Amino acid sequence: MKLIEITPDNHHEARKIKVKEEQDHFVASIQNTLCDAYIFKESVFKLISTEERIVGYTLIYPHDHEGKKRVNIVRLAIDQKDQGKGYGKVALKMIIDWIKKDYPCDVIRISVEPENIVAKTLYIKTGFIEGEIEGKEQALYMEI
Amino acid sequence: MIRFEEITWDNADAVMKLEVFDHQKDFVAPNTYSLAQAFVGLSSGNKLKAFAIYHDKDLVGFILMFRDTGKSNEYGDDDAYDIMRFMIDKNHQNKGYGKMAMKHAIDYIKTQPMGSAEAIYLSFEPENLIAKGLYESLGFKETGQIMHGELVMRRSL
Repeated sequence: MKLIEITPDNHHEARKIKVKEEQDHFVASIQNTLCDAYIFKESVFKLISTEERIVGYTLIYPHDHEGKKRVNIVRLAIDQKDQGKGYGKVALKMIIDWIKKDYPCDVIRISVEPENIVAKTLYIKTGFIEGEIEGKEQALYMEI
Repeated sequence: MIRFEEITWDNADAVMKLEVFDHQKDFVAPNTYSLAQAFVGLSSGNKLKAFAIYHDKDLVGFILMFRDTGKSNEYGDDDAYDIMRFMIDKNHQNKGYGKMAMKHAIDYIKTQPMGSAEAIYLSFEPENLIAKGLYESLGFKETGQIMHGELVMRRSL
């Protein structure tokens, strides 16, 4: 698997990515995520792809927070057709490696709705530590 | 007074909520689609600008334009600005804002914000007679081309 740029050549394929209906309220659509990427000029968007096809997308936001360099993983989504294949786990590890290499930081933050057990379990297994609950979401942190 | 403002965290939600009347929805893509498209274009190195259109304090519309070179221009062989999207919210139509905003866009493009050009191109759905009249009143002329089902217009700068 690899992280690739969205381009005029692949964006039609990319825009077909959808999470499962029951996950709709957990993660914003690719279209809204691209809008966020437009608005937050410091954020970075990548498509998640296998050798054959695009399976997901991610948006990260590197910034300074209370004197520390922090990168938020704002979005991580895997297409409904490609869920349950372990892609989320591989993608998350790949994103962490990419952040360490291109956006060196003290801490990586990701957040999850507490009912989203699958995602929360994945984050904890990958090494994130549970943090504060803010509104509807719980933050998880990984010190680098 | 019409003015253009950048789309930021402060106005983005409002820009994405702007919409045309149901019978106009075939004429212009939703603003979320356009903004997503703008991001793809920008990250591929295209020169483009998206703006929120304001009349005094009111957010009234959205415009997306890009600068094309004679080499890649699909309409002609001149360096040009292409107005890809232009919409006025349904609650602000029939107040003359469309014409004022398009005039503002022409004046803005004349300052060559993304490089020099000889013309402005745009296209419209053949049934959109209001758009056709508006563009003609501002000096656009049909080129005779039909692209993606839309009639193409050109205005020299």
